[in-house]
Amino acid sequence: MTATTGPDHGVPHRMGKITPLAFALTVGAAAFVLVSFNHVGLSWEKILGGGPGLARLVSQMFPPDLSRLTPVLVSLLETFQMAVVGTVLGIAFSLPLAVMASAKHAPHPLLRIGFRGLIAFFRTVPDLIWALVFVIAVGLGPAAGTLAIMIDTIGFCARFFAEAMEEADDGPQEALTAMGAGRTGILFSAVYPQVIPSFIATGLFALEKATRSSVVLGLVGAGGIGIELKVAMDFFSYDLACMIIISIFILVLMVEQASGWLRARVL
Amino acid sequence: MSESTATRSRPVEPGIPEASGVECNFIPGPVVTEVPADRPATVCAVDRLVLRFGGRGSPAILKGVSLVIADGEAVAVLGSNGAGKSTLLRCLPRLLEPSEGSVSLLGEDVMSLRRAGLRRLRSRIGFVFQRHNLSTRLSVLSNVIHGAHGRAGALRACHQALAPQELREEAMDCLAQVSLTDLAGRRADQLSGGQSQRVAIARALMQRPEIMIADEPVASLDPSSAEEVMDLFARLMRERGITLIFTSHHLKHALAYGDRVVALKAGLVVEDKPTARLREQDLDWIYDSNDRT
Repeated sequence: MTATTGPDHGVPHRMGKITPLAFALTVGAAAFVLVSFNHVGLSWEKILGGGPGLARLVSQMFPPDLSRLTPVLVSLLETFQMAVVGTVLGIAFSLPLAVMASAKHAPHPLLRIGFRGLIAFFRTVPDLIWALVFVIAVGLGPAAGTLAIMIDTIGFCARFFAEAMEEADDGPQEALTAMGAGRTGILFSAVYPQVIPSFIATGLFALEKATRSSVVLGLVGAGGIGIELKVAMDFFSYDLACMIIISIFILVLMVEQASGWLRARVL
Repeated sequence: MSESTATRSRPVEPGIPEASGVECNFIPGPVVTEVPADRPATVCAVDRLVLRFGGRGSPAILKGVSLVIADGEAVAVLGSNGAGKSTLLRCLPRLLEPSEGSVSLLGEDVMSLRRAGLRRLRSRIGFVFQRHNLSTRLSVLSNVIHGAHGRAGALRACHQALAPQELREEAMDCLAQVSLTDLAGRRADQLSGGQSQRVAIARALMQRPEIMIADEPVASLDPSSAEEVMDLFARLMRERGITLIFTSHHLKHALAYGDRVVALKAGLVVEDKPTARLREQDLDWIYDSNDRT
């Protein structure tokens, strides 16, 4: 029996044609991943060999040491205050920066490019680096951490605020323009009312992010509970460290739950 | 009793919603549109207006439109989709920048105005859009107060809670004209299409306009609401002697509410006649695909 072929329907190929450049980039990327695995020295022996050490650590962590609960809670409160103040300041500065970085609302394209660059710079430098910078600038303590969180929040919020403003419906803005409203009037009457839910959601995400960040900023002396955790680990007080970690976990969880609930109500 | 008196003497008015949410008693008074004594007899003159989206070589949407509109006139602009009606209306207050030609509105050379002058002129011109264009997350009262942006400033006119009492009362007067005082505190996204368009009209009245431009103001409404809104709109303009320029696809509306019909076809004026001399069937050809021009 001879195999018969059906009529030619011009069925598309399973995969599009790959260019030599795309092929080379794919192979290069795959090779880089493999080399990286080799370079970081991760192996089954190491993972399995770490098991006893991990078990010993966990056994020393429990039960958690509650003797220093009060000072730890005070530090935790300071950490959360750093996060709140840093986030509030960051959001306040993000509002005008977002206007300048928005394609529709910036007074001049060059200003928009400049402000976009500034916001990208704030975002790409990690918060721990900002904390180091501000520890040098304003000294050890929560002020440095708060400023670091503020800059990190600006990098995060100003970008999303600008995008939300660009996506706002043009209709009300056109109506306000037709009525003779100026730039500020259009922003306050047509743009902000539309994007406020998005701003609030972004702000709450920023607060969650800031709460997590503020925990580690103490490691470089920028205030908060991070320094307590570092000291506990340095002195092998793993039971105390465990109590601090559980406290941090509860704080972050509470902030995430509250922020999720608020977001659901606003959106 | 005249229609306007009848509107003003409605028995119960729910009052202005307080900034705090507490309501107060309110009896609406008449909205006074102050028309300057020296207003020119010709309020709008368009001369050889051309608009292209793109450079000189690109096809023109408006191909040399000329038009003169007298004070107090109601002009219906007709034409099929893409004829250039909305484009023409948007060119008048330079919401779209014309490529060539001139526009004179209320005695001002629109093309030569700089930003501040243009804003001042726009504040004297009401513009009602097909899709009402309200700030939907704000209350009806805040939306109407937006009409005072040109004279009250950005912060006083952006929200009813920040507006001075006289603006809030004037906004309630405007809402009374469109019979919506009872919805003053409601959010604009909870209104029907007809209610939204009436709020847009109240917002335009809040501007104390000398000219009203309306781009298919009832196109998105069902026939009964369209009739009701168009009737209200035209009556309010007539009562105040405000010049009205509106576009419509309804020949019946054009003949009923316009003193004059200007028909556009492919970016050119192809008909310009008083409605008294026109019947519906005289205008049918405007929508024919066979170009009679």
